[in-house]
Amino acid sequence: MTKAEMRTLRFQLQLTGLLFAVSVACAVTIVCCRGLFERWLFEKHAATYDSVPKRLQETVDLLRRGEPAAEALRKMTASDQESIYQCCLAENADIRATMARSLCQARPEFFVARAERTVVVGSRDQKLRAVEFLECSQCSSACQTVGELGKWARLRQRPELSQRLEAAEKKLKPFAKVEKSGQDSSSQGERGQERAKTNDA
Amino acid sequence: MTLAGENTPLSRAFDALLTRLSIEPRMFRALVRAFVLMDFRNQQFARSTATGPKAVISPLFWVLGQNLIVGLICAVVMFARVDAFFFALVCLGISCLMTATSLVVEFNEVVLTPDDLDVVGHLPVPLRTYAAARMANLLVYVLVVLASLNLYPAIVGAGLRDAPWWWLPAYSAAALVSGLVTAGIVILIYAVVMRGKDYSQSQELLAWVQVVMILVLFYGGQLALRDAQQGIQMAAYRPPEFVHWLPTTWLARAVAADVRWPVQSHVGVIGGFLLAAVVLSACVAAELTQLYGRLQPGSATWRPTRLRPLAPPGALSAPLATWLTRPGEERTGYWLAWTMLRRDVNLTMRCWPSFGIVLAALALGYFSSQLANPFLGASTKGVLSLAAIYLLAPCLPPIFQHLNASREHAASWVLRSAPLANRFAFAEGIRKAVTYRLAVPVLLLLSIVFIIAWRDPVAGVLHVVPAWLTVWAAGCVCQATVLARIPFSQPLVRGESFGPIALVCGAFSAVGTGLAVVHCFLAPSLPGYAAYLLALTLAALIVRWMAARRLAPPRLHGAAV
Repeated sequence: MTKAEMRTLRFQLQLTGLLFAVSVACAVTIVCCRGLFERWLFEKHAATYDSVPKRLQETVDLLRRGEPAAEALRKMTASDQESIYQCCLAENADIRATMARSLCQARPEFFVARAERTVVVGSRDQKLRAVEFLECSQCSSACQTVGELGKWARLRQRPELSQRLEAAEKKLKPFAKVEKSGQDSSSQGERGQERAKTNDA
Repeated sequence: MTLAGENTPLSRAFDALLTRLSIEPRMFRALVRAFVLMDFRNQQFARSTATGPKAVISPLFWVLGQNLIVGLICAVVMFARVDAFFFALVCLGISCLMTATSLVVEFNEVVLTPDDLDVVGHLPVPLRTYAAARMANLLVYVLVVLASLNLYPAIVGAGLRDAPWWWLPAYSAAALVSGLVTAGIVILIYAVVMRGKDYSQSQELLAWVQVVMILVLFYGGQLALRDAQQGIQMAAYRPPEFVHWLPTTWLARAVAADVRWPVQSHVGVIGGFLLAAVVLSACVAAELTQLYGRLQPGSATWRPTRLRPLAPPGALSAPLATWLTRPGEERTGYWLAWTMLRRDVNLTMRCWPSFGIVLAALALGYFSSQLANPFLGASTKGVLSLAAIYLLAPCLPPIFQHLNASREHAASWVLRSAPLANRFAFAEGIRKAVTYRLAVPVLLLLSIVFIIAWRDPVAGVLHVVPAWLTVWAAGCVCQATVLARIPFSQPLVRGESFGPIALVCGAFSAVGTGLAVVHCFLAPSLPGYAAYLLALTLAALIVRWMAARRLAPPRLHGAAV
């Protein structure tokens, strides 16, 4: 084929057509390999009970027994809290439930958000463990988060996850109400104190 | 090939339609065919791919290839990670951006084409027929660009778990409508607001948007895949507030069949976009027909490129530049390279992507927490903080290679006949211009990022000192080996930017790797690091002396460089 022939409109159109045909084949191959892409969606959880640094061991033991470790958790850095969270997810269901309750009572804003991220970006097993973690946390913010995650899972058409989240939301609802009523009662108490102060005056 | 296809009923009907619209069918076909052929001969990206009208593989082919790569990277990075709505949102946004930049860059070639006057001007082609053919060609061009940008998202997106069964036609229609609306807006803005003004510099700059977009997507994709915080997935889970105000968001919601939206909203969005596309098309047709009618040789679209005015030769206005260079040949070389880098946007844009790998290593290290401080001890987490500084030297050979070529190479006889006796001093001036205009800003950025990351200003500055020394030595090697005897004297040829300098780049990378290992082990000890810096300074001085020796003998006849 000469250079002049290659510069004809017909050849250039054929070349462009070939480029598009190869691209279509590549795109179809990518779609067919969806399982391969999904296999790479997981969080790296390196920490377990045995691999947790020694300085955290004592706190982890406290949490496993369900004893309060709020002070120790508050003093920890974010990476230490991350290690403890990973360690918690790696435990069996009973210990995970105990640890989740203690962790979320001490630092709900950190651990609920962390579990939320795992539900969004983790593998199937990690997602289910994180939902269980939230379910056992017994705090109102977890109830709200689980509700949002449920909507998201329904939108993304993940029936298994959305059913699991629905169940978790049902379990968490009483805690949300309790905290609400607790807030109400505390505000009533404050109002009472204020009233008492004004009476004294 | 026959120009009029009277034999088939379809073409007969088409001809009848054209005649009804007062368009000459035979002329229309001939013009459209010629325009499409010219699209393949000399089109967009001729600037940044240095592809001329005589190249076998047309610039348009490379443009389509690059658009396909943009779509591929987008689709691969987001596939299986995000939901259908977010996937559609990002892909439609990128498609609109790329279409807009393509049209701005090639406005004169694709939309106006004043060169047609030389060929068609003296022929009795009715304005209506010419305008219709030109509009048809423009439509084909926009469709081809849109197809190449959205081919991967349209097919790959259909494979998402939550994608509706009608994803493929819905996404294709959304991409088409959004692309047409974008094209209409760009053409109207350009034709009405910017009429008759010289925007060649901004056009040059926008010509590189696609290259930059590929770099951003490539390195950003790498970052996204390595991101421990899974930023893309979290952004898709909870998109930022401003996203809800973007028109592409409404289209993406319609495509992805967002159940939060009622059916009326979907229909309303699609109808609104269709209406906008039709209204804009009518406005564009009216405006362009007027423009074609007014188009005359010597009019505003005919205007030659205006270059930045030159400073007086030999006089450097900036005191810092005067302080940095010695009078004579060195200052002349500095002035020449500095001026070319300032006035030739194409040259500057060819040079900057060389630093992409350094910035990518820096960003990757910063966002993936792998930018550890080597002064605190050798660690695998400090690999990218070392890579960022030792990757600077291999960036220099391509830059010096780019300085050999210029679009104004035909004017290099001026330089050839200039009375420059000391070649080393002249090359030294060019090296200094490259160092202070291009490398020093990168070094400053590196230093600032290290200071922020480590919260230690001394360590941040000290860590960058070896980078400065390697840049100095590498510049000396390049001025002696890569830089041509007469810079800016060669024409731009595709492939020339890397081929001849592969060996130098490889050598720089190998030396840089060795130095990074030494740096890693010596940094924790202050005396060791001081000795390392001293040794590097000595090595740089030796390299400079060798470069001076290589360039010193004035093998010139009479007054030449």
